[in-house]
Amino acid sequence: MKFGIVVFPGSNCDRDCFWATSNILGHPSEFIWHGDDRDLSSFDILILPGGFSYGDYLRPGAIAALSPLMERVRGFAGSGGLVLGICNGFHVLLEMGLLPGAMLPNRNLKFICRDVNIRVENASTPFTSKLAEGQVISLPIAHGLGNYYLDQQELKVLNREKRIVLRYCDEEGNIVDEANHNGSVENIAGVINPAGNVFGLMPHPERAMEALVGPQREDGRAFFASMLDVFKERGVLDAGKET
Amino acid sequence: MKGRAEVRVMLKDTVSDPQGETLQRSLVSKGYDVSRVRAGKFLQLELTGYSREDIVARLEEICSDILSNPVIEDYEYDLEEVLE
Repeated sequence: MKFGIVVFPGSNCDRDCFWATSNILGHPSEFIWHGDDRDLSSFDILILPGGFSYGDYLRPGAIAALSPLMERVRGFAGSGGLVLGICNGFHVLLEMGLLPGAMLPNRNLKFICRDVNIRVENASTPFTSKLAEGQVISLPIAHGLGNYYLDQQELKVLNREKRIVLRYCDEEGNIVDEANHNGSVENIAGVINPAGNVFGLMPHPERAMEALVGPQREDGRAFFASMLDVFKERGVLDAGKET
Repeated sequence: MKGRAEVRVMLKDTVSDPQGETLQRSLVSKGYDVSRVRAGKFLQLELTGYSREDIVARLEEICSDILSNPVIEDYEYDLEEVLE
């Protein structure tokens, strides 16, 4: 059971992800430099971390999506491997077309860095099985381009297929405009691919893993615990720390 | 043939442009009668190919696959021959 954390020039949440999977959860984890010519078959879960890959040149995630390594990540995803894209990692998945939609600048044009309320819309994914549908959790966001856009037709498809996994909400779980910090269509904070093994989200679960960093700052653990559950069920999970 | 292309990438009309809207409001606040602003990207490329058609084929590929994101953006370009 091994995590791979892809690192681009400009990634800056790679260490946080490594800390979460290795030090907190106790599972073997390795950085994968984008320029490395290595095989990905020894990895069980790949994480595309947040940051500013290639300085957000052209569009966030656009240059990273062209990296030769990402073609192997596409192959990994195509054979059913779990791929988690967080923030800029989500951008990369959008630019690769592994997830639908695109990101625009936040509607207030500001970089937003704060804790937000998130409602779980689908708890039947490998990334959210430890959560409950309708559950309200708190996660930090930190982005300037998180204004998720999708045209109305594709939006219908995503809704029908329950592929909208997370939405920004108020404390009671209401999907209201005041809670839509970046202006995303239908308050969308995270979406999944049709096969259910590629998930992208703007909030940072890896920054919400320990009570040490603040009260109610442990909601991110559920995403990692959910992924590990997949491997527990397959009976291939090495003994990590309790999740 | 060597060509010089000028590529313009703009958000689709149906996509809101927070940058353009903010610029528009700022211009109005300065007293200018500006009703709409759309912000985009302008790129210059120099590229070679066997013929104009060959360059156009590559340019289309570059513009649609890389320089623009077809979910939110459209592109257009002018191409002129560079005489050496």
